[in-house]
Amino acid sequence: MLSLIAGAFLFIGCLYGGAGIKHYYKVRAEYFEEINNLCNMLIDEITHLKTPLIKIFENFTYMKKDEFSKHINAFSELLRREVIAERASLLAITDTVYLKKEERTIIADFLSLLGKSHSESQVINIKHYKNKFEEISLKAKEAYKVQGTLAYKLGILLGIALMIITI
Amino acid sequence: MITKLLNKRICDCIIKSGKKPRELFEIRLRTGRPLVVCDRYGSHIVKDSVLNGRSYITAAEDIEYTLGVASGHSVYAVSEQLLNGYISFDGGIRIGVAGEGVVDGGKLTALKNISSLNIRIPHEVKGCADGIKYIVSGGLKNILILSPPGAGKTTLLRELTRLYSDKAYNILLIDERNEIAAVAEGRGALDTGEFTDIMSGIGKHIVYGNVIRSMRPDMIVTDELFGAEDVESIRDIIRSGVRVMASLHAASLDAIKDTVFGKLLGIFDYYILLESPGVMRVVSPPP
Repeated sequence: MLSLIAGAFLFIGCLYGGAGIKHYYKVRAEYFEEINNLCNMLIDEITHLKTPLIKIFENFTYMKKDEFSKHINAFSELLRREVIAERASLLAITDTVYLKKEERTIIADFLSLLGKSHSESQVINIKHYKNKFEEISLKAKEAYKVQGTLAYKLGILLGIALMIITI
Repeated sequence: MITKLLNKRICDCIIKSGKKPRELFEIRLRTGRPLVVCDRYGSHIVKDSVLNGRSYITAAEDIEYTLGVASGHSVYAVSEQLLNGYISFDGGIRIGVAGEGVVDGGKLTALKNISSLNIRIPHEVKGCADGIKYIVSGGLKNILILSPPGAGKTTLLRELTRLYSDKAYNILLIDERNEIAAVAEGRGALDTGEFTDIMSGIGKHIVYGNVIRSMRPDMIVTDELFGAEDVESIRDIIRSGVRVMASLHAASLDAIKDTVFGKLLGIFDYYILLESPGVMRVVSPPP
């Protein structure tokens, strides 16, 4: 009986492990998908309506609770408090396990240039970063599809194997 | 309001120098140069509150901070205003800007490396037109206020607008630079009277063409006439029977005689010449 319970726990543990790894890749894929969505929104709003940044962020993050929206809300808060967003504070905003160090640097650079120039140069800059984000997004989606699914399946298989061995 | 535009260190320096921010007329920030404030007693260099005795030297970051706050951290949203050399801020504050112009095809397309700011703080001085109240008592008239910069044209214009409006005349106030009424979220922060309709942030020539017919004003009020287009529009409006009260940068009537503004001589009922805040001379009938 005890070995059955232990086997079940091992199975659930492995399942959670696999699901956790899959979730990690999923969040990364969604994160970069959302950055691309924000870039598109920024390009539209800046080109046609010249909407102020804080308003754009408000509209973008409305009713959203994902990782990227949390970062954008934190950035908005910095702007609202009239704090000049320095590199260190921007890197702190994007401090999360889901991003690699070099990705955080790119995002901090991207955020630091927002609102600093005329609409034409602003849009050119955003498009430049959008291209970078699209590249990362493609890789993140691919990783989610391959490694995320693989990790989940391996988790199940490992769980079953351990359960059988234990029982 | 003004303290919001300045970073904490500058605010501290101004306060510790014994100046009250709300009593200032202007604050001038020039990169690498001393911070200067202007009040009713003149211009003063602000001392650094940390480095005792030395002047506060304005840093590029100070200007970047003010620009960021004034533009809502969205410079692109005020690029049109920047091309015209200013940014409007809440409370009727106007920030004059100077920097490097980017010219493309002979046309100014952008302003970069902004190195100087002149923050102008409006002051509502009720009663500043008491000496010329008889003009308002005489009914609607065409009035042109002339003075060099900083003599109080806008303050006087605002007060006369309020006086006419309080006499139940429909006033259409064309506040292109949002200095007269200081509209924020659809409401004027400064008192321009109960019968005043305000069009803010729009070029005069656009309003002249479109809004006058629909709003049917008894009088149009506008600040700082500039260029031949404004002159022709004003002449057209006066010809149409609507009264106009406007202001113009000029040291005297003689100074405009041989310019494009010469066409404005003879069509106004009163020319009010402001020599300095509160010191005025009325010329009527027109020369």
